[in-house]
Amino acid sequence: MNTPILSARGLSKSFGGLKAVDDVSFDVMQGQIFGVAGPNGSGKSTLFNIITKIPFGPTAGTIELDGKSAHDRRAHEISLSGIARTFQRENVFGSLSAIDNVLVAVESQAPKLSFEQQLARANEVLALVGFPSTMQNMAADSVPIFYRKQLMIASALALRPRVLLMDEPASSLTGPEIERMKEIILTIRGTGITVVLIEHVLSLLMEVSDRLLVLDQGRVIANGLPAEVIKQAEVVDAYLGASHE
Amino acid sequence: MDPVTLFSIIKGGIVLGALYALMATGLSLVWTTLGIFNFAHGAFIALGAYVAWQFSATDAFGWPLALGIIATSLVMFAIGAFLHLTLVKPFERRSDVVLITVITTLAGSAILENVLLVIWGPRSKQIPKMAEGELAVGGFHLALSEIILLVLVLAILVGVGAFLRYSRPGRAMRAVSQNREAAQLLGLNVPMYFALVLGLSAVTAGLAGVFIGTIRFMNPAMGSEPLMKALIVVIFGGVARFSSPIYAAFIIGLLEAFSIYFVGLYWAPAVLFFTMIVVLLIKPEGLFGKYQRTL
Repeated sequence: MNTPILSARGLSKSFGGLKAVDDVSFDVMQGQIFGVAGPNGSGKSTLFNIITKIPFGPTAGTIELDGKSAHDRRAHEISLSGIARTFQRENVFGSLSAIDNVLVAVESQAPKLSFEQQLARANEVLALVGFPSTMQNMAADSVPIFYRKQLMIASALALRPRVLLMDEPASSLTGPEIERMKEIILTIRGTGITVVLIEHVLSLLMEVSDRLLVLDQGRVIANGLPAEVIKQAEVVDAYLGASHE
Repeated sequence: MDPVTLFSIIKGGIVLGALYALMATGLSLVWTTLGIFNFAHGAFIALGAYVAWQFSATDAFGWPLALGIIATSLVMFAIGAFLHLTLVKPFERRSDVVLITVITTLAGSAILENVLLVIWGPRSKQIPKMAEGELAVGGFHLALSEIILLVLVLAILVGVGAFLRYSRPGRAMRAVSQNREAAQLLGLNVPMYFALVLGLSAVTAGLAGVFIGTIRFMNPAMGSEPLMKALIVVIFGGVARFSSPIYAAFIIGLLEAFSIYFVGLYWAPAVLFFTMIVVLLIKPEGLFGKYQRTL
């Protein structure tokens, strides 16, 4: 049996008496798109936070990347070791130009390359996500939301991750933009990068995910093939309420 | 007012503005990146002056001033980075970091001033002038040392601006200043860049101290008044852009020079504070500010 590329065991995070993530375990295989669903406040984003140790690590549990502990490092080293993340909101460096946003990541991942090589890498990932070259020199906070999301994804890809954690990439997008985001996610998977995807747009999540994990109140209530998972009574209850018939 | 007096006031205002620009740039770098006001900035100014005196004065090491300035910059960078590790970093993650670092940087300031007193004593000192002589056209006089000071300050500010805009560490420092968590997620060692910022800020403060030391007598508390002026500049101009405090510094410098002429030395600070308050009432984000970091 293959070793999972990302493996979580007993991950927990408490804030005082509140357990935001409670004993979560899962395996993600190489090349998968691994969906994570759950109602608001179920602990999805906290799960990403504790995997990356930014802004905080887990209270308990372990994370392994390709069979080796990913948490023996400092937070910024985890990003460089192969686990990148994007946020629900367009977390870009607003006053930096679009190309500079990506260059920050390239320079931190490959500091020894010449500037021309770094620029070529930045252009490569921007092209991969379809960011318009005409906007490369615009300040990041002056480009529309969809392009800022593309920019954020391109920056994360510039780290050459093995696993990309994507937190609600389709939020605040229009229907056609969600379609384009779906293509971007599939393109990323096509390059061999494993994707862990949190998404509230269930149609998108169902279409692209190979497996689906559902959280409720910090606990795993389902983990399996998407078509089977969404039929489970506990999942239906979590989304629609226990009184649902 | 006769033209010679007017020229003299404007010249004095521009020299003051250049010094304030250098001080305020360092202060605003720390404010926009770490989100704290560094109250040891004034002590950095004094320390820079004394270290440069040690390297350059004939009764100390007697090095050429240019070499002394380079050595001072290196020393100041190391001290700035060290003080970040001791005065700021241990409290970085606390929600009340702004308040705590007011106290820790004030403590750092007091310690540094006393270290200066212990090492160099209370007697006033002066760094050798950068050049003797003056240019005189008609009745207008301009000291060569003032011209060199203006050129050097301009070159330093352009250099710092270019470093932040075009260099790899500069780009990373700007990224860290805008979004610490996103920067970490892109693999940037944020604490290291914070130390770099404080080091760079200490260099600009130290260089301001060196220039002040060439035109005024030095004492261990010489940084207190410039710190106050630098704070006024940063608040008055805002920190939306790298250039915001620089423009503000020249306005404050000229305002101070004219205030001294018209209302006297003792009332000049009151004029500056009054102007700052009026600007804040009309434009709370500062004269050149689009946004400002909030406490």
